[in-house]
Amino acid sequence: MRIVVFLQEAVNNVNRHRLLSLATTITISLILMVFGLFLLIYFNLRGLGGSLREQVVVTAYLQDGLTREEIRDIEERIHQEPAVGIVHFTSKEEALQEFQEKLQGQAGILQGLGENPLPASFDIKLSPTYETPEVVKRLAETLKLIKGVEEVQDGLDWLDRFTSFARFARIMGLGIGVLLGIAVITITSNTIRLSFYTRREEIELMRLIGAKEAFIRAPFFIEGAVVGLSGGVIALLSLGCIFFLFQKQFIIEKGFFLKEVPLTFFSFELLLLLLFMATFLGGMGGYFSVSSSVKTRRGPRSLW
Amino acid sequence: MIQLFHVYKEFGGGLPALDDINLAIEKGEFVFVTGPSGAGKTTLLKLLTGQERASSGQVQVLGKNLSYLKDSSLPYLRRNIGYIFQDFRLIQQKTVFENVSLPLQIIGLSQEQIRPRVQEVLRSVGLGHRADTYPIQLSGGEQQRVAIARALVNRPSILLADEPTGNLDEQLGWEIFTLLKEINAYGATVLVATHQQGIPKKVHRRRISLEKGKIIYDEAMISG
Repeated sequence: MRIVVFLQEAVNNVNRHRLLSLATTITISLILMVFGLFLLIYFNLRGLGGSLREQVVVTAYLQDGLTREEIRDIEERIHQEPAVGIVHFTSKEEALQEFQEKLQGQAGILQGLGENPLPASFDIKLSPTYETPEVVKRLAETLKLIKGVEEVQDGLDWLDRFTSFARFARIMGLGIGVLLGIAVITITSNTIRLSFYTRREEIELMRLIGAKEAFIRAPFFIEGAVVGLSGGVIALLSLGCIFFLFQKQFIIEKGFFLKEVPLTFFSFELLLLLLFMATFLGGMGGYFSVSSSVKTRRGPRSLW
Repeated sequence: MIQLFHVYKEFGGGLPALDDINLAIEKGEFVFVTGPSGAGKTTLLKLLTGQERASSGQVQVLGKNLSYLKDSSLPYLRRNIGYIFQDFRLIQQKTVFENVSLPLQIIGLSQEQIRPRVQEVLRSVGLGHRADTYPIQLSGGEQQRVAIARALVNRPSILLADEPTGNLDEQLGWEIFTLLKEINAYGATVLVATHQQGIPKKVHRRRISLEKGKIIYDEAMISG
């Protein structure tokens, strides 16, 4: 019953300050979009980091001209290492074939090569219990000493850099999230304070005829919540469009290098949580718009 | 019903707005508080509703000592006090009906409970037919009657009126006073602050005169 009265009141207020409410909604939606974008990048980086860690592969390239027995000896030697999980051998011919497949349509590049320049290699996946950078490094050092191994790539440098970047992004994201949250509260609070000022007499009257603070503030809270929710919906819809366009353009059509690691949008639960957050922050803005004005009312008063 | 003991009110600097006020108003009394602008009339009314707190002394209203009353308890006290202003303070975006129903909405009555009570009180101030109009469509006298209806709808025990006829001509002023007398006759204690001398002298009610924050005259007159 009361909530209907409050809702009506809030809708009337939004309606009374249509342009202002619209401007606030757009500002909030922009802020939330930036926040959402950070969150999206963060989640995808985390997902990417996880799958990259799973995919840590140490590659040992072999010298040319080894006999089959020598190759078998090397494989056995590799298996003796406790950290080694799955080992996959790629012959010179297979390497060339894979390379050709990757360069589809540009096969002309290969025609001038004559002899196959690619080395045979062992791709070594670590057993899950050993997936630490130290083990990978040690294994790479050991493999280098095996006779017939030309070069070893551990891909760790890149992973290290990626991990520290992800950590940096996480801290940044958190900081920016907090700042943007404060921005949403401040902006909503300021807009709604304008609506409060135009209704100050009405509110003083309400106080004088015995309205409790909760009764007075409820419509402002709802007004803020409505603005916050609208901003949130607009932000998430726009973000969704940007995300799917990006995915279509760069991953499906252009064959972006991240093809193996699919990008993810927010889960349904997270979407709900974000909308709830936007609504709540907007509501808090509305609530504070009244309470801060109450404080100014307790300042200097007119004599009569 | 209303008692003040050695009440001072200072706003900082200069003379106190109220200076050692002692006053007792009984249930069912009709009292005029007169005096020039700046005498302290409005401050006195504001002390009675807790809009202002006394700098020293005690203010007791409806058995509650306002010096000890918490801010959170003020709304309950105010629900028993009707307040009428010189500038009516009607909400322009709301209809007459909505304006008058505000105090009932505040105490949480349903629309079904509100409707008959608002219609009844509007009829009693002679505005039964204007329920759906907006304040701006009404004359000054009608607007003040809407404000009175709003103050009465909650059936308060005390009615405070701050210059209720200040914005009206004498004819309309008399109409409003007649209405206030009727309300008083039904049992409400009525306190009217006014700088006008004419009407209070003619209606023969208790008159308290303030000047520079002091009571200079307090005479209970025989009603006539």
